[in-house]
Amino acid sequence: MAQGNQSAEQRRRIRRTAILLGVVALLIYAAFIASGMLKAQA
Amino acid sequence: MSATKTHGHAAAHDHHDDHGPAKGMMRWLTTTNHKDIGTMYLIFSLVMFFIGGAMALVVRAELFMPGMQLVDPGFYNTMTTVHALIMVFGAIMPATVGLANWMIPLQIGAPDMALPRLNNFSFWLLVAAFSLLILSLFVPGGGPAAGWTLYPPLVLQTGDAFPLAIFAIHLAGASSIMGAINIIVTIMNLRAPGMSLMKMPLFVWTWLITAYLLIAVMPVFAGAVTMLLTDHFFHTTFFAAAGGGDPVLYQHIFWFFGHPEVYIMILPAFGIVSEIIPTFSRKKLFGYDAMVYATASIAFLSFIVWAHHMFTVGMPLAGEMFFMLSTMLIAVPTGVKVFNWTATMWRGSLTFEPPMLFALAFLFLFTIGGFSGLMMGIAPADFQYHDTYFIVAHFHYVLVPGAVFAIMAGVYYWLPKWTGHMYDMKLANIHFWLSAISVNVLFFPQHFLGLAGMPRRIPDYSTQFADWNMVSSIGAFGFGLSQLLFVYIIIKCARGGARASEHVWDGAYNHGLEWTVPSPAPYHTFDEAPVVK
Repeated sequence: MAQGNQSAEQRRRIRRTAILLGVVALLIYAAFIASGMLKAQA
Repeated sequence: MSATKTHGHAAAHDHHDDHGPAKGMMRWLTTTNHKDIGTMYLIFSLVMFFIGGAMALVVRAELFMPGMQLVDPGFYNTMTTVHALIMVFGAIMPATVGLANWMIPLQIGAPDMALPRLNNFSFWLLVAAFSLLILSLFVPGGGPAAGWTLYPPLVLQTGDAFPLAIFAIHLAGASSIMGAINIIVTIMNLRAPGMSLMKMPLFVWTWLITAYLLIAVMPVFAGAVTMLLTDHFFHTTFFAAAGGGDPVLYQHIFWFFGHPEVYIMILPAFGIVSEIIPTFSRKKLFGYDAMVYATASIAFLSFIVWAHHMFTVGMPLAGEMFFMLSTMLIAVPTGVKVFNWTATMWRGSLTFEPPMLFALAFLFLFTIGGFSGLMMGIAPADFQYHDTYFIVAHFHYVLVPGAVFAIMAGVYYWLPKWTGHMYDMKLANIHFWLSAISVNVLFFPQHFLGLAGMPRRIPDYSTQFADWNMVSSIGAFGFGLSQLLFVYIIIKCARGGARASEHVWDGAYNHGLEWTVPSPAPYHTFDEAPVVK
């Protein structure tokens, strides 16, 4: 699994996981702001 | 395009194998090497530790005697607020990230972090964040002064510092999230062949779990402060009762972030101690599997206890019962950890070099902080302790002789691997004893002050609290001055000293991949992945 000899598949997996985690973080951010908006409208 | 970049990096990496780092300032500005970035994080956190520490000394100097001595109340509140923000986000968290950068690739047999450019960007974003936060002290109206929790409506009264502080928090949060993503993808993708998850060193495990915590809760805090920002500038009323909002909602959201944040600071400390105690006991860690599951349990439980920070706002009895009992539950996996560290030492061939001394002090003093936390987890008792110096004593025991001592233990443990030199053991022992004594003189009397009813975040106090405040302030200056010795020891070690061997500590033999590379660790390591059996 050495990075110096990373396969294309491994690089794809790294990129995919990183993007997925970033999207999850953004969704959590948006969800909590949305919860604040719902509470303020209630 | 992204694929081309990745390929380019991999190719460049291969050509870098036979030479060291670039020369001059550009090395530090543009480096993608995990060791360089780890060093920068550690130096940054040390600088922040002294800036935040100086602010704490302003607070303790003011509290040395009753009455107003040195600063006005507004500035006092700014000092308590910015001290906390700097210590949490600028000192402790970056120190553990620095250790992660240095040690995770070495411990899993990877040549670097999986996303080295993102790693560089994460670090420099943090520098920008704290430059803004410190700049906020010098704008009209003074720095933020509503406490590190930034509760509305008080925080909305902040002057020009408000947008600076909020933007600084956003930047620091983005830096943390990017760092966490990097750590997760590194651990999940770049482990040496044969290193299954249950063979990873405990430090790597604790950081993997911490990174997931960071991704789960930093966006929550970012969302909360974004809503503060819109309440302040765009006339929304998320937290303003007059417009249909609810200030208590902010407290719920903040502590949904804030409690896991405590574990973000302490879980890597658990990992460091779990590395050190077996080495200096010359035994394997007792109950490795249980330690992993206990760490995961603590992380899970950290999401369902948040309202124990706000028992006094008023909530239904069932809510108080739930949060009280879930808080008590955390003692179980934490107890497993303390038991396993103790069992590791049982009948071991113990020696007491500086890393072990700091780890042992951590074990005793963090446990004191844990117990006082349990006391406050009891809802009816918390009504007595809430917002007194008892809570100040509690969380400082968790964070100073807890997290900070573990970080110092880690630095003393791995410093010879980083520099290739042994440090001055005698001075390091003196540093330990000065720190261990003064930290107790500083924080233990605060339990008495809190139980006697002294409120926190108040620059003046009744004369009945005078004696213990004076003792605490003397301890604070003793602790602060002792840390100058820490800096001297590190600089002296970096400049020279007796050569360190490959496995540095005789007990470290067979304790991890980091001890299989020469000391100092070469600029590039594990270009060929080691095989773990």
